[in-house]
Amino acid sequence: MLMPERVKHRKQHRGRMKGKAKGGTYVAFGDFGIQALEPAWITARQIEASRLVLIQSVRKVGKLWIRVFPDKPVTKKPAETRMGSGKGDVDHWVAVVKPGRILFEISGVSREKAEELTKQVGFKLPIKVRLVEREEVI
Amino acid sequence: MKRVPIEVKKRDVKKKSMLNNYRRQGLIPAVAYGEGIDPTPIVLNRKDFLRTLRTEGVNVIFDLTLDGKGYPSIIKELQKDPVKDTILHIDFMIVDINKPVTTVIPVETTGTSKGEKLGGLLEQELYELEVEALPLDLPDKVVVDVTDLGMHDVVFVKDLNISDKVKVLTHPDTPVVSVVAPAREEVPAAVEGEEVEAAEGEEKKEEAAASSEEKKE
Repeated sequence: MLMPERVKHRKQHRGRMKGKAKGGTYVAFGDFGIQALEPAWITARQIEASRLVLIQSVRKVGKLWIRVFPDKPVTKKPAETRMGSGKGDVDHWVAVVKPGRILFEISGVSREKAEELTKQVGFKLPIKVRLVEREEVI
Repeated sequence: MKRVPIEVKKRDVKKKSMLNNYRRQGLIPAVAYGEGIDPTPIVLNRKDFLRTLRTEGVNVIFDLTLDGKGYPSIIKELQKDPVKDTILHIDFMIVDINKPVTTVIPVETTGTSKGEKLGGLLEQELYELEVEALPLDLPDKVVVDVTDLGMHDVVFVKDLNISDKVKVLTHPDTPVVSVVAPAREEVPAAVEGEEVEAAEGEEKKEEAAASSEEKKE
């Protein structure tokens, strides 16, 4: 699963997910992109599950790009622990995703196949997603 | 590049809330700057602009009609809402028709390559080309014919058919399109071995069971 090799600070504040994505909002590498329509923390496990769905269809005929990286540590206290005595240990890693962010890009597949894959990836993620196509450059 | 006339009006408000008011009224806030004009906030009709975009595309010279005067311009930046896909703001750069401008033009492919027929994959690596030319000499797009491309063939920027009037700023050795062999599925040799071993194991078990039954008898 994806996670940073080394970080400057072990634990982070939770933060907020106000507004829409500022970057990574257009298809830059492939023919199609899977775009988030809701804000969420996408865990490394969810990214991996989506990747497996996509790579199964894309491996022989095209390419896959993962446009998000889980670089935010999420901490958790052990079960049945009394409150206090500091922040818990890092449990897993998440990517902070805001509406409009392109999560994955694929190439080498037809539009129908890409739509089917978007639906399948949607089942693996906690948010609504949609398929977007490459647009004309300006 | 084609020339398309477009009617614009000056606006004096710059506050975000007022710009949202314009957007609700079916207008797009924009700004015009460049040759012979101070940066001027303007608005234009959204319906008319979208119709122009659909018919002519974005790579055209827009003749902005402002206070009865014409200004040839190109779109420098177009801001879109990432979720709703609505246009939020446009930057028009006024250009001098007699002076070269630097801009990007789209690269498209046409045809089916020989390599694809042999089972290869066509990979486009460059989607936009940075060029410098007089505004009227700028092409709308660059079309690459890939019909003659065999397996492992690559088209570089230096191979593109572009008019002499256009100076390409992208590095000439940058690959544009290539035909690559499809990724091979790894043959799971170890798994085959396991299967064989497992089958042998089952046979041994059966033999052992049979012998034990014989012993019991």
